[in-house]
Amino acid sequence: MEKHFLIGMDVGSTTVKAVVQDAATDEILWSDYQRHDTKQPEKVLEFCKRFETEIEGFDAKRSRMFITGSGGNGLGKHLGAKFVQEVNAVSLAVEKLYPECGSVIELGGQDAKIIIFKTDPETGRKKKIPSMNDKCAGGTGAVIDKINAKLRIPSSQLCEMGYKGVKLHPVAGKCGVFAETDINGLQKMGVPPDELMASLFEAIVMQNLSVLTRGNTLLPVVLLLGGPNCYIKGMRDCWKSNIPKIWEERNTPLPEGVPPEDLIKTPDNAQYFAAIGSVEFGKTEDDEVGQYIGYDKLEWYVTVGREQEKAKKGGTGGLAKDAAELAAFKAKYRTKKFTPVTFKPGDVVEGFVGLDGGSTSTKAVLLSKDHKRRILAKTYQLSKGNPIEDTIEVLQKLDAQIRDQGAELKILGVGTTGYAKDILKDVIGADAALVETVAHTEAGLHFYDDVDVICDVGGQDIKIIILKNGRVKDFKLNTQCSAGNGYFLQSTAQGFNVPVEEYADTAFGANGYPSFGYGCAVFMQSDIVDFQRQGWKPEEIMAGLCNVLPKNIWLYVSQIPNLSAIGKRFLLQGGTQYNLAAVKAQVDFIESRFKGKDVEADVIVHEHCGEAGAIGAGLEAGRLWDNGRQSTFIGLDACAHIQYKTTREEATRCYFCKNKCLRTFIDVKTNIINIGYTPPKKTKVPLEAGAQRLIIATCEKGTVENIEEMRGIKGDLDKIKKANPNFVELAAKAVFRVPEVPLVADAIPKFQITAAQKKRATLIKKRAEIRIGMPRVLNMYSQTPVFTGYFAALGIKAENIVYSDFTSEELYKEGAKRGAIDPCFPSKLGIPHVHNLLYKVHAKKPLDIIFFPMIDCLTTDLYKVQASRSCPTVAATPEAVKAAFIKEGDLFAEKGVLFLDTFVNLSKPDLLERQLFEQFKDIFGLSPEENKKAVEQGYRSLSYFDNVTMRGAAREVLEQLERDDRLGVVLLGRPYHNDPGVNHEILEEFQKLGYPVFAQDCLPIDDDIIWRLFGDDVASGECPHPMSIADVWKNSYSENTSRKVWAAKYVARHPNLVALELSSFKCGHDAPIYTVVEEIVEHSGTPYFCFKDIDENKPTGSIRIRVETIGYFLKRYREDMIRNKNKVKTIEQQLAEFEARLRREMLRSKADENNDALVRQSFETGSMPQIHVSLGALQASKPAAREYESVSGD
Amino acid sequence: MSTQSFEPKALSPANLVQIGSPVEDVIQQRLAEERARLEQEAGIPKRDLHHFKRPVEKPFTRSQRGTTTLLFGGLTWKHEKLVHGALEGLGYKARAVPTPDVRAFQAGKEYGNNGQCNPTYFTVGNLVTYLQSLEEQGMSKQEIIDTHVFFTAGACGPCRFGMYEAEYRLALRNSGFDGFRVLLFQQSGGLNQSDAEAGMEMNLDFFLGILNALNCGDVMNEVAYAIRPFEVEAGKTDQVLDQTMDYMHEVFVQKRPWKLEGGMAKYLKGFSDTAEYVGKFVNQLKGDDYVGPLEHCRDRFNEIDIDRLRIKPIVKITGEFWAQTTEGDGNFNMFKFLEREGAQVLVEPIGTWIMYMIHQVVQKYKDFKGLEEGAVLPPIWKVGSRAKIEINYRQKVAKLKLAEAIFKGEYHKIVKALGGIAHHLADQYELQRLGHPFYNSRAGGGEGHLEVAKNIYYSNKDLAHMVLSLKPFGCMPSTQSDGAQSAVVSNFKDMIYLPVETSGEGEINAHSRVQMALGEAKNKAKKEFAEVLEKTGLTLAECRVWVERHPETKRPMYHVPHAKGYIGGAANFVLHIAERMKAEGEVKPERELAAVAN
Repeated sequence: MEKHFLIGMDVGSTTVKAVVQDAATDEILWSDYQRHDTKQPEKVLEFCKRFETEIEGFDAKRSRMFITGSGGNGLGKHLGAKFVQEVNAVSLAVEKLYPECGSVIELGGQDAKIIIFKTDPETGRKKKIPSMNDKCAGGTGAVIDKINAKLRIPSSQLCEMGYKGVKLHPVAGKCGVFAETDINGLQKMGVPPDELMASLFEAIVMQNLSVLTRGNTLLPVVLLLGGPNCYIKGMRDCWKSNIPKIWEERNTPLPEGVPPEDLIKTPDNAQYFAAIGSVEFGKTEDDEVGQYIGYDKLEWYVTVGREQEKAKKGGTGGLAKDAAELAAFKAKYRTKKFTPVTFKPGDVVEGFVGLDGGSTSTKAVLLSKDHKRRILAKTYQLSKGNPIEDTIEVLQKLDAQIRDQGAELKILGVGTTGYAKDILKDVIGADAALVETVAHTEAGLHFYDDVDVICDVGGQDIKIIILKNGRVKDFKLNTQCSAGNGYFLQSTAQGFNVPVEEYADTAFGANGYPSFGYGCAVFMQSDIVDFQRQGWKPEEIMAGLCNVLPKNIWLYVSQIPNLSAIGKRFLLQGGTQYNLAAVKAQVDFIESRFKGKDVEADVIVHEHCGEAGAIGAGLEAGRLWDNGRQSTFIGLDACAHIQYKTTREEATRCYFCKNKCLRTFIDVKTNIINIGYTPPKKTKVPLEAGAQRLIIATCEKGTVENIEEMRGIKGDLDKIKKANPNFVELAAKAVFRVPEVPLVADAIPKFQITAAQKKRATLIKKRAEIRIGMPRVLNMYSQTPVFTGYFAALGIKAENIVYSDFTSEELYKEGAKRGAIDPCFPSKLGIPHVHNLLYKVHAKKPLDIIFFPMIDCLTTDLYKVQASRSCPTVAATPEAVKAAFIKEGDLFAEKGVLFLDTFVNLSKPDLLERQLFEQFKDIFGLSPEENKKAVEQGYRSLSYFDNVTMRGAAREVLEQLERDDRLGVVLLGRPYHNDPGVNHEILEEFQKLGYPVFAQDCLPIDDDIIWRLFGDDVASGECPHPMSIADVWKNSYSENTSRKVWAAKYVARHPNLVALELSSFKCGHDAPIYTVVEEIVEHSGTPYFCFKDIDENKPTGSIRIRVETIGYFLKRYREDMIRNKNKVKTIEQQLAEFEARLRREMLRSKADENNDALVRQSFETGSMPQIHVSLGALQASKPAAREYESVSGD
Repeated sequence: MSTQSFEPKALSPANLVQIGSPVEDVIQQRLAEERARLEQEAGIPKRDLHHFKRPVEKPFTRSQRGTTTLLFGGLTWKHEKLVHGALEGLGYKARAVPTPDVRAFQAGKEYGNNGQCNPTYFTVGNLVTYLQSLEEQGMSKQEIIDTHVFFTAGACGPCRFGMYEAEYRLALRNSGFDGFRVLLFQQSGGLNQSDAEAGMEMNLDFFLGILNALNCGDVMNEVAYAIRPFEVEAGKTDQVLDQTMDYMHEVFVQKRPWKLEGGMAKYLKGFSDTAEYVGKFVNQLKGDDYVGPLEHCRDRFNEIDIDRLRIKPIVKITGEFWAQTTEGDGNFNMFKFLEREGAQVLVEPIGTWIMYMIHQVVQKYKDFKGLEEGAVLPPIWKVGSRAKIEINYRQKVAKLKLAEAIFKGEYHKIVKALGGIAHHLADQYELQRLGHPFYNSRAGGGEGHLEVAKNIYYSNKDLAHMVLSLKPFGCMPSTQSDGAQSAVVSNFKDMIYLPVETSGEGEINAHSRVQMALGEAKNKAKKEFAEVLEKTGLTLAECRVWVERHPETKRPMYHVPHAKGYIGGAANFVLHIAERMKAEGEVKPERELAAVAN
């Protein structure tokens, strides 16, 4: 009988693998595995030709082909092959070749996949739980490739690099480009390559274990597949070290007698798995599927078709339509060549220096003393790895520019910015360290008027600064992803051997370009490989990259597709703007987003785009000098003699809090010793004599070494905090205090005759012992007093009502691995908190009940809203939490804890009474009467908490602010943004800056205040009641949304309050009101700032920059406020005098006119008749008492 | 003390206390001028403080009806075609916007708020791109705004679906269509427009017209999906579907609401309104306006040759309402993909959702029983008040149960007219029983407990090999019910359940996962088929010969009973063949079999 053949082909990003099997026997007749060097179709064609000739009796008609891999879909159609999804193929191969396998971890060139096989004990069927990375290359082999390209470790050596026993350092596995940043830093500190690589392995493995497993436990036996796993020893060791830890933690049953490490294997023929799996897939398909048609069509594609395809795709032309357009563009946008100002010998040049210590370079500018603050000289220095050294050099270069002309430089002030701004400020005694955003803004506004948006694209960073009235309203930074920065363009050009300076001209030379998908830079790198395969030339690829850059900036990193909504005048800054091809793409993109709109975009490139940050810093130094500040700069001479030593090691670790951060000590020696400096009394890192130590730490406490000094710092901080209460923090604690309520419980029945009576008596007695645990999550941050009041009134002891710990990174990490879904972070916290109750709180002293109510609707103080529902994600969280703890066996039952996710409607007291009775009658032995009274106590407790504990205290502070003309920050957020782990303690930063912080629920609602604020709207009929939001928002059914909208109105109307909005990533009820909240606050000219998309990652750097930026502008706002107020006061005085004069004059003239003796007499004697006018006085009458009841609910 | 200028609004004359004189007016004027001068001198920014107010919505009035086109969308083209017909039959100019695609999604992202869920981006963007296309065809923006309204469903929470309306308005404003009218049809009934002369009349004719269109759309859709995977001639089903849909569209256009005859109306005088109302109901229940045309469609479908012996895993589609309904980029063209990969798709009727809405109200009545009467927990001895509560409650529930029964009856009338091959509506009480232990049936938003319940229902009742839940990225309730599903899947052993999050991007990943789960479902279907062959002792070839002998079984409307424990059409068919052979005393067709073998 004639043989039939099944061909499996795996076309990956770097290699092609193929197997040809005998359909009847499964025997592998032919197989090969080769790198394709970006020539995928050629390699596939070569394989086809080879197996057709090398296999005896091969006949295409009797062959079926199944193709997989990232290149498979495109090529399959030329061969008649059926495309098989790669994960599916791999899983089928594993099932066939390794039936004992429990999980697969495959790391590919640009993807990472985990498949867990769960065997059903009853049916024996294997259920597959697949998971793979999506839009980001974080945690894939691409990250290793990228780092290795940098470290230049030969592949044979890389394969042997180890993990065990190697010292590890923190490296971001999330993104290849960020990993590179970390590696850069470590490398400069002298960390050897083997430690760098081992740290990278650790980062990649942890990234996959925490993200890709999606809450499932990897089951033994684990197979490691894919290039990095198969070839790099360190990767394998890293898995072997980390996976068994999880098994131990989760008590995963393992086969006895086998060391857990041995359950993690790398199969021999791993490279062929996808190809073999494709064949396996083919076997299940109908006979006509995947009929191989030979390689003629593919050959045609390689020789002719591909070119045609490319011509079709690239037919759109180059970056410019034609030469004329290009010339016009260049004429408009080419930056003017900078000519430094010339000086005469002997001149003393006075000016201000701005320094920008960036990640890739350090820039310096010298600004003139006059108010124009012209740029006299500028210079830059590519980073040599240390900002201090770079700074010393740029200062010398600047000085040389003046000195070479025979003039002398006299520096009146120095400002610093960039990531090294604080170090530099301390080392050289600069006058100001300005946050980057402010520096860029000031630099932009100094040269250009009415700028709406500043887009700064530097080497590593992208900053989008959105302005309103010269104030930063919002900004976006690429803290999580590096896609779209200039470094990528630069490295691509270098890869093609094109000097960076020639990038633009090279790219403009392309008549067409491939279309990159926007997104992850690491994926774009593999796109480049793919485009090369398709025959695109370097200049075309470079043009394509420019074309995709704005998409990455606006659509991927900053996610602002509607550019016209943020303004019309765009200022481009940053070194990347020197590349005109990138500018062209930017300009075209921005202009295209205004098509069909009434306004046109006005895109300008900053004349000094590379030095904008330094200019801003210099301007600030100038501003301070104008205000009379004497410079603290140590002088050029001292700078030239700076000696320093940097230490960052175990000995520098800070132990003042649980975070135990690693610090950097910089010991600086200059010829000037700071008079006020006292060396540390005790230190683990010896300090040389004459040196001054600067400590770079993540918080204030870490800036000193011994505990007394730390206490001093903490004491100062505490004073500031006391003077500026943070009601968000206070509410977060107070809401969980068990209220003191009268006991309403029935007495134990005197007669216990029936079984029911006996049972009830026992249950009543038991109440004193019952321990109830509640998670500190979600709406518990606003509604807990109802429950604690209820329980306490029924006789549950206060000490027996306990909670999970406050959210911390540790608490989250411990519990979150059980999560199967990916909702917003506050909801994701449900599982970790219940985990904490079950494994920590319960372990300390056993709990009887975990009470995590499903709160369907909330209480409300608002006027006639549609309903007061809670968000469905939040309300249903307890169900998902329950599932997480019962899916692999009922863990609550095992621990002897009763999990209650009682469904409750808090906006309806009657219904709540019924719901709680149904839930607790048989647990507490309740009577309806005591239940009713207890519910009343619950509501009373909530009312006391809201109105007395919080609003009462907040009112005092608010009044103080009004008296002192100070500002307070109002958190516009959801109740659970009071959770310190959710708000990442951002509010505390504002408190430290001297601003009291209010939670929206603690804004006082006493009649006098709300009528003062909203009375006008009510009087004019625009709004029915001060507590109504009908005038601004129609769909008022979500209580926390409505509260936020109302609080926005409050802030907009109160002169001493500014708004800070926090919003969690994936918050479905916040998203629809983003614009509304912003518009409400901004319409009134009140400052509005926001932190959106917050999640479990605490973006410390971004928070710091944001807080500093906001702090800067708030300071300016308050200065304006006071200045204006004083002006108003003066004007009022002047007006009063004017009025008196006017009246006198008018009366006199009238008296003269009428010859009115009486009037004249009264005028002469001073008894002037008064004319009272009351114009537009605010509603004087006292508002009517509340006529509304609670809302409809749902 | 405020530094904001607190400019008083003009009060009504009654509130004004004014004692004035021409002299005083002059003084005030001079003072104002002086104030302005001083302020300018001092450089105080003059701000006209006007607080944000939501924009005024323009109404759609009756007089505009003739010149205004009602735009609607968000369903399948089949539903939309019939709704279109129904609206035209009622005298409206209407047009369905096209199925949203990725371009619409991107437009939604561009013009809306950030962080929306997928259906918002798709549907909102779709309206904008459609209006832009009208503009490209030469209409001015103002003309479009004046002559079109968008008509969509709304809700009062708890998920953000209820806020879509604001999102439509924002996107329209951002794209330059400020003032474009968006009408909300509340799910709880009635159009959210207080205008007495409303352009849309939300009367019984309207409701019946829309419900009939949706029901017919549901069943036509399901029938096509049930036949297509088995059609012998590729493309035949779609061809027939196109023709029959055109035909049904025309039926709806031609249909006129039932009216009381002029003479009779005169005779009944004051009661004529009630009589007409009742008459319309009776006509709906007893009438067969759609039955004849549907039977015509049935006959057309029945002309398609099908091969019932193809082993096709049945994939039940559940998930979020829009993601499970749309047939385009919004769910990665999932139905087409599934059929291409060899599955039979069991789509979800909109009817289930309507039944769910009614059912939730019944539940609510139950929860609130007695609360209106002020009796949270009435003591047992208060017999009178307990009885009153009971009667009041039962009356309310009875009305809804009647509504449930009527709706079900009407739906099943259509199923029957179309050959009886579509499924009956799943029982809501059973769904509640199944779903509640895992996902509280009181938890509202999205599909509530339905997703969990349907997964159990279709798996337990041997109605599907696999349940594919399509949920959009960012869907709030659906994400949580997915969390609950993790316990469901562990609890029901042989369940193949796959949730897929749909977004505008990431199609390859989604298809990968579906292909993988489908592989398992295929194995399940094959195993079951092999079991049936073994049990009946028949071979596939024998079955084929038997089919040739009994050509009536090649007709899609031929009824094959569903055997307990067997899911797939082919397996059930083989069992049926065996039954019939036994009943008819047939022996194995040896000779024909030999011919087939050769």
